Amino acid sequence: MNIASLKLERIGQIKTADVTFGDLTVLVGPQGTGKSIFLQFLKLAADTGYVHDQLRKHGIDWNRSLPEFLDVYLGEGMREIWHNGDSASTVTVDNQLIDATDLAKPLHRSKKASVFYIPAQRVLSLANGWPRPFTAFSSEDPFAVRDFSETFRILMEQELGRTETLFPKTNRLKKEYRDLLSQHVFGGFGLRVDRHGSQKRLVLRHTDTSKPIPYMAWSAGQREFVPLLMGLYWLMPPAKVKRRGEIEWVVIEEPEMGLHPNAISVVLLLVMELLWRGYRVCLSTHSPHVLDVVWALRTIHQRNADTTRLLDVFEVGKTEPLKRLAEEVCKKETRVYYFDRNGLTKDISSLDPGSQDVSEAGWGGLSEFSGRVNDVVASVVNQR
Amino acid sequence: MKFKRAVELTPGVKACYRPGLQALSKNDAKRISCENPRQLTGSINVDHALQSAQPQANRWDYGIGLQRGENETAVWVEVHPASSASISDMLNKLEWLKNWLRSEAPEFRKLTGDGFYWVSTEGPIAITPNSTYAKQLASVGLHGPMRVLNLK
Repeated sequence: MNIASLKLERIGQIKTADVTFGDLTVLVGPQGTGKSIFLQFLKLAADTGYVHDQLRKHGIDWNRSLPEFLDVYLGEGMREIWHNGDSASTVTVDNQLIDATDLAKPLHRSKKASVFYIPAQRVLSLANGWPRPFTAFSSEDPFAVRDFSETFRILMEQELGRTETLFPKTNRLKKEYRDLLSQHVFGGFGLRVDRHGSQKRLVLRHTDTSKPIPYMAWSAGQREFVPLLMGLYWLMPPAKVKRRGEIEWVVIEEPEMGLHPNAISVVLLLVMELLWRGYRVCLSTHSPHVLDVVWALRTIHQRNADTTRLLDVFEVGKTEPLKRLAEEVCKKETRVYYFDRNGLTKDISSLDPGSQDVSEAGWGGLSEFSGRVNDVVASVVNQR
Repeated sequence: MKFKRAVELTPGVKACYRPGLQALSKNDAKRISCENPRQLTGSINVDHALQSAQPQANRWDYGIGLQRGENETAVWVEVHPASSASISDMLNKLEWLKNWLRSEAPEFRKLTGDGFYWVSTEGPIAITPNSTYAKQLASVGLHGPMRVLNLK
């Protein structure tokens, strides 16, 4: 579903969150300012039919009640974020106010998903090294986590389950990406499907003969990254098609979770690949590294600079496929929104470090601390 | 008026005192903001003043006198394009300025505390606070780059 803008009002911590999407949209802001709620409402607005269909398939009935629906969709207790009466919550898509009760009603809608959502809690999708099915979660767990985990499970069982080596895998991801991931995330280890008794599980293995390293012994970053990698495999099918099914949007919450900056760079290069494939991408982040890339992309775009400079950002070779990727991605529109503590959003897309607006100059708080440290250090150096 | 006195006592810049921000070019003066202009006790264009005496040196742009309560202080402002290509120029200029204060301008040096600022010319500021370049500047006592210096 093509959504140009989404506005939420008076939902949870959000007073007004008004976002016009670019090809790449990044949401920043402190914890508890509503970024995740906003993204989940994007998914809901675009894929109401799909969400209803998936919930029903797994035996969930919310009795057409909006409060009950919000509990099953967003998680237990989340009905409290919705207000009725004079200061009622509202959802507006492309300047059209949605009748909120319709969100809980089984109307005639497409059951296909257009938004692929990779949640912040993606690490919960792997239990003992194998993806959990939808029904293995509690009915009070958020839909985004359950649905992602189910998709991961289906991918493993239907496309990848018979494969022993999941990474590196020659028909998945360009060689440049595989090499970088091997270096910066997996440290030369391979991701394999192994058996522990009769139970399949994902393990890391250095060579064919070395002992497998089970899931609980992986680094935090590896545990966070593997579900993200599987999500990317889903989105980048091995056939010569650029996109999976009807998916138009990719939402990734905190792609940087648990990762060293070198690994974050690789993930962001994969985000560039998603953009090249024609997906619209929406990220939430607490990492200035993510905004560094957005800033570079915007600057190259605005100054009509040589697009291969984008490849310099990632320190990758200027191969023909990557040059084509850079040329295409540098045409994309990027937007950055700051979710502030007052429940409002601010367009800080220019990311100007010299802006008089602190929220823009400090990149929604992501570089503000560094700026303050710099000032303190400079003052200390000048003391006599 | 300690700043004015310091100008008069410093060889090479004796005759260069100007009231307020008048030593700055019009464009550069727009980049300095002060809620109470009376706090600005004067300015000198160091670059012009020492151009003949030190034509090859990495001369700093301006000194500005600032009254803060009962204390008068000197702040030093360089207006320069703000990109990583300018870092080494800025470090050289700051080093020149600090040497000049030490060896030839002791009266100014007495007035100088935490007051070295890089103000950007027109155009983008291409140095982010969490970059190595920004840390390099901080480690030598240089604040900025900033688009407008707000003096209080």
